[in-house]
Amino acid sequence: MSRHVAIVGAAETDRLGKLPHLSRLGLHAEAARNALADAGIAMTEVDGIFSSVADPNELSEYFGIVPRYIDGTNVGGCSSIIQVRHAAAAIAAGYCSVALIVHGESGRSWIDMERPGTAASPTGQFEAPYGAAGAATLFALPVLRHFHQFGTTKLQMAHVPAATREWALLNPKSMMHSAGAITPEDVLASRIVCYPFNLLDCCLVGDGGGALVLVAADRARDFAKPPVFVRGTGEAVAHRQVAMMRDFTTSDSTVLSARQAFAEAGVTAADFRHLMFYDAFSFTPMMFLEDLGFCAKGESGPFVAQTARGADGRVIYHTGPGGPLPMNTNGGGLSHVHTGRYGMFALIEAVTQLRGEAGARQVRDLELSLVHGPGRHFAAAGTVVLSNR
Amino acid sequence: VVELEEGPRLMTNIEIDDPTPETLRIDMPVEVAFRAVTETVTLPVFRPAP
Repeated sequence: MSRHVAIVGAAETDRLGKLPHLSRLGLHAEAARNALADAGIAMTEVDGIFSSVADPNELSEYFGIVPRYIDGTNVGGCSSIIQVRHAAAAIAAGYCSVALIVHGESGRSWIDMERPGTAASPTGQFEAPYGAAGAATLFALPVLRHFHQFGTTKLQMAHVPAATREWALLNPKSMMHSAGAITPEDVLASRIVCYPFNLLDCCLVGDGGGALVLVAADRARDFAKPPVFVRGTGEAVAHRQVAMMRDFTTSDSTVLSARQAFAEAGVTAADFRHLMFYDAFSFTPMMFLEDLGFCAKGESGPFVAQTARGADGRVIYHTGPGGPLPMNTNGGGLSHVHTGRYGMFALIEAVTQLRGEAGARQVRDLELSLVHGPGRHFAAAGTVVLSNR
Repeated sequence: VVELEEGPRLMTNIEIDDPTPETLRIDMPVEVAFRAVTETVTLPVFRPAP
């Protein structure tokens, strides 16, 4: 179904980082304006709205449109990724013809944002009283089990932020573009946040947004930019509270989501040379490398810690620039931006790479990209396979 | 997270004097204790089993 749909517009907000002059809705508006301009299409043409940080009804008012299809899927960081699937289904069903998936989040300045959860909720009753309430505390538990079961180390894990920073140094929009390279040893030397995470193991906290415009593939050549086709999608949810995760070393939602996306696209892990794996923490994409079949279960530590030396003596990380498996080439949630829900930024980078618009960080001869993200510490998952052919 | 002998799992705290990755070992046996938070709220917590 979804192979009949294409992304024809994709853009971030003008800037990312500390943007106290833009509210949550203002960030949505700037992202939508930029993505529609990228596609060369007017807001009045949009008849489907997909959002999670803002309700679709808030956006219909703010944008001055009356969409005939709405989706407010709200399962954490991967909501935008799942909404690519929902938009593809809605377009294929004829429920809308121009789908706008839009994200805006004042994660740092916190302008018109709400604190989630109440004391009476399951997490409020059964997890928060024990101090398990912030992302670092919740994402830490599966990592500790992985360390225990497979011998994975903090030093291996620290290669992920080091490799990801290399990409941010090549992306002028990244919050850490001018912050300089970091080594795995620098990660271990940064201050502890919540064992086993040090500061540089943790994603950024920023303001920003982004949006995608999707239409039926048979119209895709009518727009300003080369289309990027949606070849396969998946989604799943497995639990809500982290203590209810069936097996702390496997994300059940990830496995089911990826299986659907791979089957629909007719691909396997071996077909990909570009990955956008949501990096809320250094460990997060390591779980996906295992669960999506890029390495065996338990082996992501040694896998990401492989390095080589370039002709100039510089370290080449396995997933960094010049390495065999480019991952999170925008600089990721670790060094590009993270507003609270990062999925949209991963999608935009995949589109940017497939269009050949990624400048100094462009991965050459790319046809396929794989976007995968979690929602709420491996509880939900969304997968999208994108292609420029 | 503690898994009870009966099967269910719960988020909790392990109360020991010097919690470090070395002293707070995964899969160590623990037993329940109760922490009074207020006059009406008491939370189950766990301590290393003797």
